[in-house]
Amino acid sequence: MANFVELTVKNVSINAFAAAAEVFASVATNGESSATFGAYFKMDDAGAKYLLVARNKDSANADETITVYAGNGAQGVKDITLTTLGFGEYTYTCLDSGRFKYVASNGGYCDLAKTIPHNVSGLSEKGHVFISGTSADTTLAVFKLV
Amino acid sequence: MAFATITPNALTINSFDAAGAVFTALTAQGTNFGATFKMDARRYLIIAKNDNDDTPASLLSAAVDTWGVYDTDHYPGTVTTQTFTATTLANGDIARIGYTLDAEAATVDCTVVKNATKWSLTGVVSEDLSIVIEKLVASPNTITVKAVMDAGEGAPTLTIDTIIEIKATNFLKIHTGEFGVNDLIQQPFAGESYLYLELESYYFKKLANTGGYADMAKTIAHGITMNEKGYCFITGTEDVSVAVFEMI
Repeated sequence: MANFVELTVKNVSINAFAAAAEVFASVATNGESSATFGAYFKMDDAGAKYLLVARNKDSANADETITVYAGNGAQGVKDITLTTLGFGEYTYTCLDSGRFKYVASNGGYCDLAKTIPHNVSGLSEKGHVFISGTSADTTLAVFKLV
Repeated sequence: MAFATITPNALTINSFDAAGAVFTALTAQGTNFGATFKMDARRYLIIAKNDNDDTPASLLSAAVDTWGVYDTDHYPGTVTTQTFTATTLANGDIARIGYTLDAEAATVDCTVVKNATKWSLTGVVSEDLSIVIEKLVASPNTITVKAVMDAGEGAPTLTIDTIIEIKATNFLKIHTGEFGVNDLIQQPFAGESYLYLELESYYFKKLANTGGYADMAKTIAHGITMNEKGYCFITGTEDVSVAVFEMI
């Protein structure tokens, strides 16, 4: 079964370079007949800021739609969505954990994500943030700020 | 022609910025490529990408045959014979290993360590798996490839497809301000890769118009003679572009 892709969060240092061959990863289909393309990352630090950068990498399709899902904590009241991510364009936002982090595993996004890689079944969404895109043309990068 | 002027992207909390461009290419002023931005905030996040896609020939004459990756307690390594043209590699260069792991192609960059007797490359693929390639200077056609993998992580299949030398001349430099001590330099800055960091204005903001950087930048866009006071200067090589985010 296909899975959402787990994003590797890039830790940022002050006044020191960090290098990576690639920082963007494509969202991946969950393999359902009505496919959802998505990604998730572990938001493992209390009070930390996370910068999400999204890019549409493919010219063949129309604008991509990207959604960051509200978490299930007290502040998780509303998803945020951008519907106009054109070819080659970027968008970005700084994410608050209170708004987007899952604080309990209630199965809502487990149903989408199914399993994490390496066949570990039963992803607990607790502690994670979930993002979806229109297709695999949506690429994402996450930076954990200092 | 002048250095590019970057407008920092203001970060918004919990809402998307309008879609658009975020990276600005370094532009040439004489033989220098560079960009500058006004440092009004205390801290900035910088993401730099090098779009240089020149692909040099692989140092391997052909892919190394598929071989298993094993618990290193039992299988410390595999020796294979292969032509490996490593003569141009130097200590500190970057080599990009192209590999196929369980039918999935990927690359990993690693720093070359060379001494009088051998070249050594170590690519860290994951927490559990590293690829180590060694070649004795005196044995031009014999390399040792070794997968270092945690015990109990299974036995995936792995092929070393290519080893490419990354040009050591590519670089990115963030110039220090008057209160700073040293420029930040990343060299080599591998093609088709990224750098990122947070930058403090205290160290990298020009506090006076000394003319040092004006001499490089000459003018900002629109032909206005530049006063570098309050600006941060970034130089590098062609094909490098930079995104600047103003921290909240």
